[in-house]
Order: sequence, then structure tokens, then C-alpha cells
Amino acid sequence: MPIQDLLAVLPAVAALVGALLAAASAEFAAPRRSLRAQQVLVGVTLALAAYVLAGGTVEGGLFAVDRLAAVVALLTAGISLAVQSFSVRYMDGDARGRSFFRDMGLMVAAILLMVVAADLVVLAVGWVGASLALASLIAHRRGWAAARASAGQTLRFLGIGDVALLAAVLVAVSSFATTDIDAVIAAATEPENATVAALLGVLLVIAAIAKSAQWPLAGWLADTMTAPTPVSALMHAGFVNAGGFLLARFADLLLAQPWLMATVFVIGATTALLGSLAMLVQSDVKRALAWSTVGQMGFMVMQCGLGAFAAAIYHLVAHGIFKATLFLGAGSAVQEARGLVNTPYARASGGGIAFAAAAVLGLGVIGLTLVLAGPAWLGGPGLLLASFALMAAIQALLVWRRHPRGVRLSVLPGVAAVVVGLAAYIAGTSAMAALLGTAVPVWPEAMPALYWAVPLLFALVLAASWAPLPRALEGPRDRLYVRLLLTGEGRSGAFDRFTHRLPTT
Amino acid sequence: MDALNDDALAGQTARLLAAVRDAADVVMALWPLTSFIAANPARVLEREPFEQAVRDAQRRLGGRGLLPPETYEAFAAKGLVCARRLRHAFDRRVLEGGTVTVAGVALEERELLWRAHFEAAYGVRQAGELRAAAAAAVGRVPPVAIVDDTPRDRAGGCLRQVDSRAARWVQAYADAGQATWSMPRRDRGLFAAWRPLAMHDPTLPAAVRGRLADLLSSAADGVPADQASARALHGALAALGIEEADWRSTLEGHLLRLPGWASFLKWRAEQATPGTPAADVLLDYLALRLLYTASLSAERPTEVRPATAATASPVDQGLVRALAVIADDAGLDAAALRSLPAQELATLVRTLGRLPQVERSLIWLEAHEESYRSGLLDGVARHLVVGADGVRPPAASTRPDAQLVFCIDVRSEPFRRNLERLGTYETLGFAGFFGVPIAYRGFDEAVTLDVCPALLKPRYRITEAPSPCCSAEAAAHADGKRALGQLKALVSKLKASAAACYGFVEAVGLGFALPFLGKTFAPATYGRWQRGLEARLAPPIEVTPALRATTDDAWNETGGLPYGLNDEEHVFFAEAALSVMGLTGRFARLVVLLGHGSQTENNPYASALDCGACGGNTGGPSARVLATLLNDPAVRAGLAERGIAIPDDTWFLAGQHNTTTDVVTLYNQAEAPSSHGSDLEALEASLAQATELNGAERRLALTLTDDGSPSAAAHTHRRASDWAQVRPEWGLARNAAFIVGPRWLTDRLHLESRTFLHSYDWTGDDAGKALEIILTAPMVVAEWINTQYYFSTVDNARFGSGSKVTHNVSGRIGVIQGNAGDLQIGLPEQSVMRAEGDLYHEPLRLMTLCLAPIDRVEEIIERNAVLKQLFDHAWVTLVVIDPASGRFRRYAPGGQWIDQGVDAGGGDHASSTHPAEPNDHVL
Repeated sequence: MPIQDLLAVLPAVAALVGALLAAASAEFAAPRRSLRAQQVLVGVTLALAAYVLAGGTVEGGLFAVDRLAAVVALLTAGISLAVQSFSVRYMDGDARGRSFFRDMGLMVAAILLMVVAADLVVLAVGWVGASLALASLIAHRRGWAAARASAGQTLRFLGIGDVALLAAVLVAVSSFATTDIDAVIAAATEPENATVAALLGVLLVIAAIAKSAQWPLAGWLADTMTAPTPVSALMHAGFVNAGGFLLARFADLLLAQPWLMATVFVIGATTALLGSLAMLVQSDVKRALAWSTVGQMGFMVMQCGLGAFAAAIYHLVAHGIFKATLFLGAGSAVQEARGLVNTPYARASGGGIAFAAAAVLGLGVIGLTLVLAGPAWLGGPGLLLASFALMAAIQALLVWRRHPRGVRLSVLPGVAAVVVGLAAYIAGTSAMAALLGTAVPVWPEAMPALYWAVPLLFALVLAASWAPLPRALEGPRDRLYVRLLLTGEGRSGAFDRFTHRLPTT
Repeated sequence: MDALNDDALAGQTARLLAAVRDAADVVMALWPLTSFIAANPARVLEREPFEQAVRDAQRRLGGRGLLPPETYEAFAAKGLVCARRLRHAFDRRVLEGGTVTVAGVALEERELLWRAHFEAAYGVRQAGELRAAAAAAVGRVPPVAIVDDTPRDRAGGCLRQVDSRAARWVQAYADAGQATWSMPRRDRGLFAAWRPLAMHDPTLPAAVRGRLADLLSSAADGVPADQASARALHGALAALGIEEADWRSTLEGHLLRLPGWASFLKWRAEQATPGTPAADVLLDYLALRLLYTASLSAERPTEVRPATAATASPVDQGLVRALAVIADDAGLDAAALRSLPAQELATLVRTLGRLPQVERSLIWLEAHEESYRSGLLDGVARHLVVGADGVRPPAASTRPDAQLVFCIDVRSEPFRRNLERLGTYETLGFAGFFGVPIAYRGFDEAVTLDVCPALLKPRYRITEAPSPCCSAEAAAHADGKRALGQLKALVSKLKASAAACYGFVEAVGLGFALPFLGKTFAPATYGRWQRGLEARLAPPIEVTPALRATTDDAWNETGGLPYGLNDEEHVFFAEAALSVMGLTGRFARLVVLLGHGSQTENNPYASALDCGACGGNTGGPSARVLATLLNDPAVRAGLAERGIAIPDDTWFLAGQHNTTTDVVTLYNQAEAPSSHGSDLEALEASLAQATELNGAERRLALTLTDDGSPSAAAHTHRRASDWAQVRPEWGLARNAAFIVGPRWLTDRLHLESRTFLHSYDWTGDDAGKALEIILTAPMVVAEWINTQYYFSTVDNARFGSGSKVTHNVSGRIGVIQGNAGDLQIGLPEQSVMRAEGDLYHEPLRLMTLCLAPIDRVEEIIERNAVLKQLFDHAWVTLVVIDPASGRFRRYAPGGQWIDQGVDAGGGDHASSTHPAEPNDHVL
């Protein structure tokens, strides 16, 4: 094996060694040893990523680290180390601690393998391996019927994606007689291979939407709470990213087929809407977080569909850190509630509605004008994405001003805060684009005008959250509420009464 | 409808409502986790003698009432059960019997049982083959059928479907602010809100939805809204063909399917103002359940009624082991055992089976309890000086440097012990709400908290004002605090907004790296930094409770509690507190009243570590109230009139003991007279030393995930701020006794943080009023805590809340396990176990030890049914030391007093005979 290959696969190997160490250790020693391995893992990844991002190249036959791989590997390794350190204390006294650390190590190793793969087969091994390790972690409490049911359901959903990816490997081998990823992409973008490329594209998209819990394969993610909390943190910050990573990895293949990109956009936008609506009705912290992830991954896939791959990767990193923090801190909801009165924010009065209505209207008018009359680049994806930042800013101002017990802040600092937020957003995205360089394609300048329907729809949702509901809409509102609340109810057998712990004898 | 029909209907409805009310007895109200109240989850069983109750627990409540014998064997292996006590307990419960023949040798039955089940049983290694042969032999003898009438699903999964829907709807209904989009119309009540939504349920088959619509519509014809659920419930019961005689048991069965949610709804109903929809929430819930049941099981009649069903219990492994022991003793190998005559083998198995698992566990429990208790009582007896005139108190010392009043909480004992040896400090124990039943709102806080035991209702409302020293900074503090709250609200609203969450994540997502890494790798530093930042934004100020009753604000909107206390009430509460704790003279220059609270991160069960006497809140505010009263010259004048003279140079201070870090904070030090400056300094130094000493003592029990910090204080601080820590402190685990008496009774003993200590001076309480309060209030609270820990430990899946690692906080009021299901009831596994199956808490019933005249105690028991029930049913064991004779007397169920043998180490009471009680043998 050439030295480059060895170098590239080092992080995955370190994670694997950690898993094996955990499996081979005595119960009490497993967490500490696993943690040591993780520290080595992060060190190696950090060095490797720094080298690559500084301009070095690591390119072997089976494995390679480009700028995209460097960024995602760094995120995965960093989250993994923190989650492992957390788990050493959190999982203390758990009867299956050793298996827990083994499976966490295996999952990280599989993800890293996938990230540094230069070959489709290697990628598929990592891809499928991560699914299996995750299922084992979801069924961590082996005696718990609901946990086994959840793991089974997860495998069925992920299995669709795994089979699609394996099929893609077969298609590539039979058509192009190679499994080298760059070679496959190059061959697929040849005009005479359009049919095969379309087939490959569809299979890869299916694989991606299963892994990233996209509509219509989104249902499994919210039913994985039988896994210990740290698993969720790693899952939502490392595992579900794989779909976005896969789309970015094969960006050139997808870009060559505009209809496929449009499909990806629609799937992403639909998922973003469904996910964030389903998040609203959840009464428990973890399922709300899971549906939020579904929505966020939808947004990220939508970015891919726009061709804004650098933005998608930035979103994936920002969301990963954000969501891992929220999951690890999922136990604090009660303490946060201790000093709070649950006073709802005033909905109806004039100011809010007028403000929101003006925002929606303004957004629509601006969008329409730009599309019809503005320069082409203004109608592009950048502006569409910026409109989401604008909606966040509007919501921020509304929430701040309408806080029942808040201090009033004059308009200026508020606007300044919003400007800083927007600047952070633009700076972050641009920095990621610069960091990734040529590893992903540059943003396209235009997009179909119809795409503006998506931010408009979200703006309506925003307005609806502040406006009073007309009586005539109560029926549809009820129907939507029930659908969102009971989605997938009873499908997985994830419910049981109190068999969550085997009696200890 | 004619009048006759109406009357019949009204009567029927009344009977149905009565059945609902009676059925609700089967669950105990469950408080939200924002203020955890430890209570007996099997409260309904307290109406029966303990032994009967725990034998029945499985059948009645679907949960284990005793640990399996194997767990006690593990306790014994650790030296926690004394062999002699075990034999005593065995002899007391197992009568001598006949003989039984094994391989031609006649053996005495009782000795056989002792040998097989206890003496030679644990720790023996048995040949696998012999075990197999024994198992086969045991399997051939039909076990005594156990009657199991826990409600079970006989309709092919129909009840599971009912459960999963009921849980999801109740979860949405009970949500106190988690979901951004809450259940529409839920202010109209569970049934009224559910009814229009249920029809849209896409997961119900069309036929089921049709039946549900039929049932609902027949109940809707001209029925007033507030009677709709009763009619619907009645209709569903009729559709299921359930006779009126079976109503109650059917409803009980339904409540026990999801005991957690049923318990929470019971709390909700008890809190609600009568006449509001929430007051009928249990009726609504049962109607919802029965309607689902009737609709889902129309083709397959469902039986939810507790019908007696004989089920074969799983093979008792203890019995198999016992048989193998006997075979081995008789020199039989596997083949020889198999070839024994069938008749002989069956007799042997039946004889061994005369001590089934539950009875063996009861023997173990008694032995375990007596092992602990005799150690404690012997210790007390050893230091007790008894003369001809009875118990002699030690000579009163000179005036102590300071007196410190702690909560009775078991965590106070080690701190008091460690503090006492650092100076001439006197410590006392008193219920942590300091006797003032109030609802308290901190300065510029949004929430008013009921800071009194759940037994009581608050009677006054008190708020805080900035102390005179800090009035200038108060506005800055309030503004800063508001801005902080607003900022937190902003973040939580943005992340939970359907349209704004995407831009928000991209703008600030990377910033979360700071808490993510900080809290994980340097929790103590991060916590310090965070608190520092908050203190900068909202500079902390000293506050004082505003106690005066004001006329213009006499009644407020919430609960109609009067604001403040009037002058007579000031003196009344001050006198009551001092006389109940027996502090009526010999006041030190400083008297410190200490509430307590815990400090943990990311812990849904944080309030379970706070003060139980303050309704699961921190005790500081209550301490402030009493200290303010006692420093008031007018109150002191009033007290002097009633014979309690507080010297002019005595100053009362309030403070709080942080039970996680052992740091004691003293409030309003600047207000103390300048003459007390040096006293305060010395006290603070001692408190700091006690923090380190007690931290070091507690560290021994917290060896798991010790980070190797150099000092005990660093170790406890890290634990307190670590968001990954599932055992920040041990709370009230291992609690086992409640001691009522002066501190000198126990001050030379190391009580291992296992005892509630309540100060009491029998000489100043001739009418027994103080003792009556202590036994009926603090002791009952201690019993609630004790039974909570007991049941959470013996069956953590049913009565506890399982492992924290899969907890999922629901509706900000409780936790569920994983994706869905029942609301969890008691304490998590991590609060009572070192590791799964390795118990830290030893589930022992409470023993109350009390130094007071027997006849006084007797009268109090006679007057209070609650005490009679607890003592007669042996949920609490009472031992009284009679001051007149120094004799230790134990209350036997029924009301006799028997001598409690104690070993005073060669003194007068050296006989260590065990109390013999008649009539409770099992054989």
C-alpha cells in the first residue's frame, strides 16, 4: 500500500483501533482506553487536515484526502472526541459500556473510511458499516423490545439507501469497469454515457436521502431515541451528514443533469418544510431535536440542489456543532423551565402582524422584481439563501420586542445585532467556500425563478406563527396538527410501557 | 327526556364518577420534575400491613415489592447483613416442622430449609450437571399457581394500541411549554380538545374511525360540554359489555396500564380549581382510553377487567439451588438425584418450596434491617448515661460560639459532624422550610414557588426586596437579569422557529463550539466563567423578604393567598419554630439558619436533590424569612412575653448549604452588628474547613469517575458543573432512620449520612405538642422519601425511572424513556445504583428513634390515624427511649411496647435478645 494511502486512512484506523481496544478491555477500562485512541485520532486528523488545507496533497489509490474530506473528517473526529469524553462519565455504570464504546468507535471508523474513500467500494464499505454500527447502538439495551424495534426500522430505512449505493457500485463497475471515484465521475460526465449517468445519479440521490433522513425516507430518525444520548449527538453531527457529503462528492456528476439537481432541490425543500413543522408539535426534547435535524438536513440538501455545495458543507458543519451541543444538553430542559412562567407571546396585536405581513410582502416583491428585471446574478441561489437569513433576523427582532418581561432595546442595537448576525452568516459561508477551494464546484449564477416559491412559503409560515388564525382555517389547522403529531405512530413498535430495563438478578 | 329518565341518568353518572374517583386511588399523585416530591409510588398499599402489601405488589400494581433473595445475598457478601440476625429472622418466621427423608436419612424440616436456602446457599459452586438434575426435578413438581390479576392484554395488541395513542395525546395535553405548537383548544380540557382531533388520526383504520365516530356522536346528543366525557365513558363501558360491578376494577386496570401518566393527571386534577376542566382530567383520560378500546376491539371483545388468572411462575432458581445443596450434602451426584424415588423427590421439592422467593426475601429484609438498626441502637445506647433517675443529659456546656440549624435531610448529618469538631458549635435539625408555610417569589423573579412540604398548602405569599445595602444596585441587577432571560428566550425561540431556524444555525451554529467543548473538557472552568459573565451582566445583590402584611395587596390573583404576615403571626411562627426545635434558651451570639439546595448541570432530576421539606425547592428563602422574624425587636419582645428570652447580643443569620459542593453561603452578613464581625469571621473559616472535610468524606462514596482533583472542593465543584455527570451527588440514598432528640444523643456517632435528625427536647414539651408536629409532619415527609427510595430501588423499571442515558424530557414536566411511552415515576437508576444491578441505596424501611416519655408518644399515636397506620402496618418501625428509665422500647403492631434489646457494650442492657413477636409466622 503506497504511503499516501496509508496516510489518508490513518484516522479511520485510529478509530478502529479504539473500537477494538474497547472491545478487548475489561469493562471498567474500556472507556478510558477508547478515549486515548480518540485523542490520537483527533491528533492525526488535525495534522492531516492542516496539511491538506495548507495546500498539501494526499492522494492514494484507494484513499485520498482532499479539502472536502479534510473538513468533514475534522468535524467528525472533533465531535467524536468530545462525545467520547462526555460518555466516559455519562455511561458510567452501564451494563453494556464496553459494547457501547466498541460500536461508537466502529461508527466513527466507518464514517471516516467513507470520507477518505477514493474508491467506490471503500466508500460503500464505510457507508454500510456506519448503518450497522448505528443500528447496534440504537438497540443498546438489548432486552428492550422498543429498542430492537427502532433498530429494525432504522435498518429498513437505511437499507434502502445502502442497497441503492451498492447498486451504484455495480452499475459503475459494469459500465465503466472502474470503481475509482474520479474516474467514474469523469466517465459519467461524457455525453455518450448519459443514461448510465442518470441511473447512477438517481441511485446516489436515493442513498443520500436515506442517510440524511430526507422525505420520503425521513421517518426513521425521530424513532431512534432508544439510543443513549451521546449516540444521538454523534448521529446528528456525524452520521446524517453523510448524505450531503455524498452529494458534494459527486457534485460534478449531478450538475451535469439539471433535472436531477431540480429533484434534489425539491426533495430538500419539502423535507425542510416538513421537518421544521413536525418539530413544532413535539412535546419531548429529543424528538423535537430529531425533526429539527430532518429539516436542517433538508435545507442542506436544498443547498446542494441549488449547486451551492460550499454553503451546504458550511451548513453541515455549523449544524453539526449546534445539534451535538443541544443533544448532549438535552437533560437541561427541566432546569431551564424552573424559573420560567409559560406565558405565550402575544400574537394578535397590530404591530406584529403588520410587521410580518410587510416582511412577507416585501420579500415577495423584491424576489419578483429581481427575477423579472434584475441582473441575472441577483436572482441566483445566493440571494435565495440570504432570504432565510433575513427571515431569521425578522423573527429575532419580533421575539426580542415582544418578550413579555423583556427590557426594551432601542432599534439601533437591535439592527446592529442583526447586521452582525448576517455578517457572520456571509463570512462563514464565504470562508467555507475559500477553504474548500476547488474541491466542490463554484456556485452557479442562476436558478429557476420558480424556486422563489420556497422562501415565500417559509415566510408565510413565519407570518402564520404571529398572526391570529381565522376561524375558517381551524379545520385544516387541526388536520395538519394531527398529521404532524402522529406521523409514523405505531409503525415501528417503538412504544412500550416499562420494559426499558431488564430486571437485574 | 322525561324526569324519571333524567334522574336515572343522573344517578348512573354519579355512580360512574364515584367509580372513577375510587379507581384513582390506585395511583399516587406525581408532581412535575420542576419540583420533585418524593412520595410512596405504592401509596395505596399503605392501607395494608407492609408484608401483605409487598406480597401483593406484583398482583395489584404490576411491580416487585421486595428485592430478590440473590440481591440480599450480595449485600450479605459485603457484610451488610449479620449472620446472627439472619438466623433470628429465619427462626422467627419459620416454625419447626416434621422431618423429611433424603436418601434414607431423616432430616429436620426447619434445619433443612435453613441449610438449603440460607446457610449453605450463597456463594456455593455447584456442578452444572447436578444443577440440571435439580432443575428437572423442580420442573416436574407443579408450582403453586400464583394468582396474577394485573390487567393484561387479551385482545391481540389492542391495548398496546390504546396505550400508544393515549400516551401521545396526554403527552401533548400535559406539555408545559416544550412544543412551539401546542395542542389546539387544550384549555377546554383533555376530552374536549381530543375529541375533534381524534377523527383526523391518519393512523386509525377507517372502520375503527367509524366506530369511534359512532360512539362519540351517541354521547353528544344534547349533552352539556362538561358531561360529555362521563357520557362517552358510560357509552364505551356499555359497548364493551362491562357490568357496573366491574367498573371500578376495569378503570383501575386502565389507569395501571400507564401508571406514570395516570399519576401525573391525578396531580393535575388535585391542583386544579374545582369546576374547571382540568379538575376532571382523569375522567377525560379514562373516557379517551375506553373509547379507543371499544373502537379498536369491536370484533374482538377485549377484557381489561382484572380477571384472576393462574399463570405458572418461572422456575424458582433459588429452589433449584436449594435442592442441589441438599443433594450435595447427602452425597448424591446428578445420576443419584435423578434415580431417587419420584415420591421422595416430590416431597423434598415441596418442602423446600414452602419458602418461596417472597418469603425468603422477607426474611432477608428483616435481617438486613435489624443488622443496620442494632448497630445504630447499640451505638446510641453505648453513649447514653442512665442513672437511677433515668436518662442524664450531659452537663450543659458554656455558651457555644454559634448555633447552626440545619434541615433534617440526611445530608446534613455528616456536615454537622465535621463542623462540630472545629469549634464549640452547636447544631440542630429542623424541617428545612423552618415552619413557615409560604409561597415565595424571589426579587424580580417570574415564578412563585410553594416552599413548604407537599403535605401542607402554603398559607401566605412573600416576596423579596433588595436589602438596604443594595437598593442602588437593584435596578441594574433587575435589568441585567431581564436582559439575560430575554437573550435565552431569543435563542430558544429562534432554534424552535420553522422559518428562522436555518438562518439562525448558519449565523451562530459555529459559536456553539464554545459550550460544546467547554462543558465537556473543562466543566468547572466553563461554569465559573459563565457564572462570572452572568454576574457581570446582572451584578448579584443581597435581598430581604418583605414580611409585612399590606392592606392594598391583601389578595392577589394567584390562589388568593394573603400577602405577608401580621404582627401576631410573626410571633406565632417564631415561637413555634423555636419551641419545636427545642431552642428556647442558651442562645449563642450567632444563630445560623441554613436551608439547602443542590447544584447540578443538565439534570432533569435536579429538584430531587433539593429540599423535600420545601416542596422540591431550595431552602434559602425559608431560612431568610425566619431569620428576619427573629431579628425583629418587636418579635423578640413578643417572644419574651411568652417566656423565650433572646439576649440582645444574639444575631440570627440565614444561609444555604449547597449539598453538591458543601459550600455554605451566609446571607446579608453586612447587616450583622459590627460587634459580631470577629464571630462571623471565625465561623466562616470553620465552614470553609468543614466544606473540605465533608467533601473528602463524601468523595469516598463517589469514587466512580473521580477526576483525580487535588482537593475535595475541586472534585465536588467539577461534579456540580459537569453536564456529563449522572451522579453529581448521592442525594438521600441509603436513608434508613429518623432520630428525634437532642443532638447529644447522637453526636459521638458516625451516622454515615443515613439518618434524618430532628432536634427535640422532651423536657420542654409536657403537652407533647412539639413532638406531635414532628411525628406527623417531618417524620411523614421522611417516610415519603424513604418509601420513594425503597420502591425506586426494588423495582426501578416499574417504580423508578430507569437509566438516565435514554431519558427524554417531555413537556418540561417529566421524562419518558426513548421515543414514547409512560411518564417515568420515581428516581433514576443512577440515583440508587453504582452500576446496573450494583445497589448503592440499601432499601430499608424507616426506623424512627425518639427520646421521649412513652405515654406521651402513645397519646400522640392514639390521636393521629396517619401514625397508627404507619406503625401498625409496619411501614415505619418506632423505637422510643424512655427518659425515665433509659429503656429502649419498640412499638409492636397493635400497640404493645416490647423491650428492644441493645448492646451497650457491657452495660446494663447487654442482653441482645431479639424481640419475639407472636402470630406472624409463615408456616
